[in-house]
Amino acid sequence: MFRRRQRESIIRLFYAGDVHGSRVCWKKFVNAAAHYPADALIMGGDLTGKALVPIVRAQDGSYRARVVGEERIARTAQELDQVQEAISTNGMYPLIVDSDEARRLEQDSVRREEAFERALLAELRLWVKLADERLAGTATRAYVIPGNDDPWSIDEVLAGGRSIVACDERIELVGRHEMISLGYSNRTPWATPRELDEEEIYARLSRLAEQLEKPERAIFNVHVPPWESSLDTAFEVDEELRYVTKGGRPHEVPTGSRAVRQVIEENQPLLSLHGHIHESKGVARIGRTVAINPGSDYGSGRLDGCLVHLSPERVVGQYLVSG
Amino acid sequence: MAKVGERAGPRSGSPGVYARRATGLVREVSPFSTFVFNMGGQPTSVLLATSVFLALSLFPGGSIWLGFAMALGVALVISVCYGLFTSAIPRSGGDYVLVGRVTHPVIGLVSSFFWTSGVILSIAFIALAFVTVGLGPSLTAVGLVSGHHSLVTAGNDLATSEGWQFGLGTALIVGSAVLLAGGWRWTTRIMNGFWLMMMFGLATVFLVLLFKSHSGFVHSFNQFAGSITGEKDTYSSIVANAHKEGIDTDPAFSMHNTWPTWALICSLTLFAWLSIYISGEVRRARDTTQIKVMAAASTVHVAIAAILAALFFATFGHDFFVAVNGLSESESYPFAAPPYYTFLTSIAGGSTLLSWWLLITFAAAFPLLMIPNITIAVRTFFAWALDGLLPARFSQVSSRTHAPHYAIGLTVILSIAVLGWAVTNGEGFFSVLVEAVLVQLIAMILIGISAALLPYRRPDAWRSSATTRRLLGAPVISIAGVLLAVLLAGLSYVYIHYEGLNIDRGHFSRDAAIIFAASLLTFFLARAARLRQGVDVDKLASEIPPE
Repeated sequence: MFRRRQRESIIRLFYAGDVHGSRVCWKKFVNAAAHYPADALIMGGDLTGKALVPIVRAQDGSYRARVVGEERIARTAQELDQVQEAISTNGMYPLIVDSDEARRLEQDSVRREEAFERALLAELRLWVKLADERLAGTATRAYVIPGNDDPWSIDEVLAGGRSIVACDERIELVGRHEMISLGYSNRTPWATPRELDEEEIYARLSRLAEQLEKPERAIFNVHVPPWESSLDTAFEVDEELRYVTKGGRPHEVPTGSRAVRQVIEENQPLLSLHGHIHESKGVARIGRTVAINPGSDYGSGRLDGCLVHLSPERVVGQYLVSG
Repeated sequence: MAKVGERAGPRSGSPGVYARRATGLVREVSPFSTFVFNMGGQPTSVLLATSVFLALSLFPGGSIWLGFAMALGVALVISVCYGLFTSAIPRSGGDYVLVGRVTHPVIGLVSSFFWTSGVILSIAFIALAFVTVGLGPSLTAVGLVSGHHSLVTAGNDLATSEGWQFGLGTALIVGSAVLLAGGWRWTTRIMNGFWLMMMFGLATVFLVLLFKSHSGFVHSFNQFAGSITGEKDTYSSIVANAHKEGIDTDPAFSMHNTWPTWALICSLTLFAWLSIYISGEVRRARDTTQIKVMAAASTVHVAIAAILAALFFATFGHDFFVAVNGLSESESYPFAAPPYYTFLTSIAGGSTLLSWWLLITFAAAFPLLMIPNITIAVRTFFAWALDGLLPARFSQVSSRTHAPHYAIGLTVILSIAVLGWAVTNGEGFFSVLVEAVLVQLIAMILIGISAALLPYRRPDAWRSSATTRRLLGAPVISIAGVLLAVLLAGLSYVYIHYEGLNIDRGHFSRDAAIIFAASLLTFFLARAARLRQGVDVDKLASEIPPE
């Protein structure tokens, strides 16, 4: 009886992030609630893809595109579907154009930006619809924030979902736990859309943390990992976006946020969930806080995530999964 | 810097792809850096000292040139197979994920157990060889060349005493582990230093022998050896003694003996693929870069070894070099130091300073080999702990250095235990090396099979990668995978079949069975523990259905 009661008070969370336009990873994220199972889904940002791939319609009716360095030719509708699927699995957006439009895109950067934005938003609307359909009739909600790579235009799309709780810079109640969320990152060499100076990150996170009734039971859902936590190790990149090598090897550096670390140290929440640095998968302790970055391998079609069992007082278990 | 909607440059993606500002869109690690990374994992100096010339006496008539070519062939197949595989499933963390994702997590774990066991055995081999091949003989050689008999005695004591073997071997393991525990930044710097020292040492050998004629070497050798043997022409008497002992210094070519020669060379040419641990997203777009760089590292490694081997035969003399290697274990061999190229080059140079330099640069190869092996074992234990196969403690990292201290500690304890076994088992380092290579071959064969199955087991990952080329209707990655599995199975057969390669078949079968059973036991114990916690491990390990 006691064990059962204890189980009943445990909430099961599934966290993932950095799906970067991979439709198959988003589908898996939504289905994770039923698969593992989980009571709540949390998406930690960077939903949108990084590249647009034109599929050029030739006069003979075939379609040509370059997919990760390889030229693909589709002559049938089925082959065209396969090419589009390969592009979207890699987190890129397929765009079918004729050769005239391909030429215009090549020459006109504004046209390219507009095409990119349209493709990105169309895909996200599809995702939101998919989540609404699959989570309909269940109590499960998907708590979703944008990440530093995501353009501002996606906020409105996320806000329109019935099963999606767009919770950036807000406090939401997940089971018995208050959760604060922040999608910004500190400054990066890429100058992405949502970046702030450390002082501003500290100010925004502190403002949210001050409103928590029980910070010791809280969950932090913050896209950027804390500085020097082992969840933020990445290869150093120079101004030309090339890896910095020292002695012939890529040089690893911490890339997380000092402000995030400071706020975690000051408030000591129960759990702190992060993404941003795909290759720095791991679990770390910062004081009593269990901090997790499940990493990301979106390009392979696998969803890297973390299943967390939380009692009101402690993290009962955390399981890094690749589903 | 790529701007929004800007067409990515040729180095950062494929033509026709428009990239926007996004984190992680970096250009790949430079081919040269990747090349150095791969070269560091298999020091050429150790190959030259421990593998190649053993074959001259063990397998007369075996062609080391054909052995080099065949070993390079296998290395190139590995490059193609691993390069294609990791372009489909990148940032994999090695065989554990590659095999597990394509076949089944249990098979991934079995593969990982074999690989890690091989790595632990390799650590023991390196620690033992550091003393018995590196320090001991080199110190003796310095003593002989410089005339300091105390160094000769010290070198002999090091090479033959089990206490010294265990003590210094343990010191190398612990020293490398302490270095790793201090953080990866310092570790890589020091590794780079060791690699440069080794290469400078090989360059020194090359230059000394290039400018030393054969007759000049014979003169230097007789002058040096005369003070020990009391003979005027020790060079000729060594060849004559070899003939008396039945060693054919100019045997006819034997394909039968070329197979084990190939296997000996392969023991240190199969591992130029460590760069698959280097992650990066855009790297996927140019899959052939990885293949080319891994292939280049293997080619240069084998080419340096082959060029130096040719130089050894030319300068030392073919018959003499075969004779001196054949006699090295017999009473007719007049020196306390084995006839490694460092010893003979020191004699050719006739300088104490040169012999010290060659000792230092040769010894540097052992920590260079040790550090990546310890790193791989530590990362595997860390990954197992993250997946719940080991207690969570082993995935904890130091807040100061970010090094996984518990995983490092476990690696050190296991490695020292295996070193103790290797020191006392009486079969010497070579049996340890062969067993290490054999268990690693099992894991590599599983990778080959997994690569072959990728288009059929994970068609989504295959179709979305840059590895969809076909040859005669079959996916190229499947052809490469099958070829790799067949080649490595053939290599395993040679290791097991030829008694001269020192493998104890009974021991190997027993050890393989233990590793296999331990991997299954670990998986099912972890599964049972999770079920008690209310977690369905089968679902944790399985793919989430997208539809």
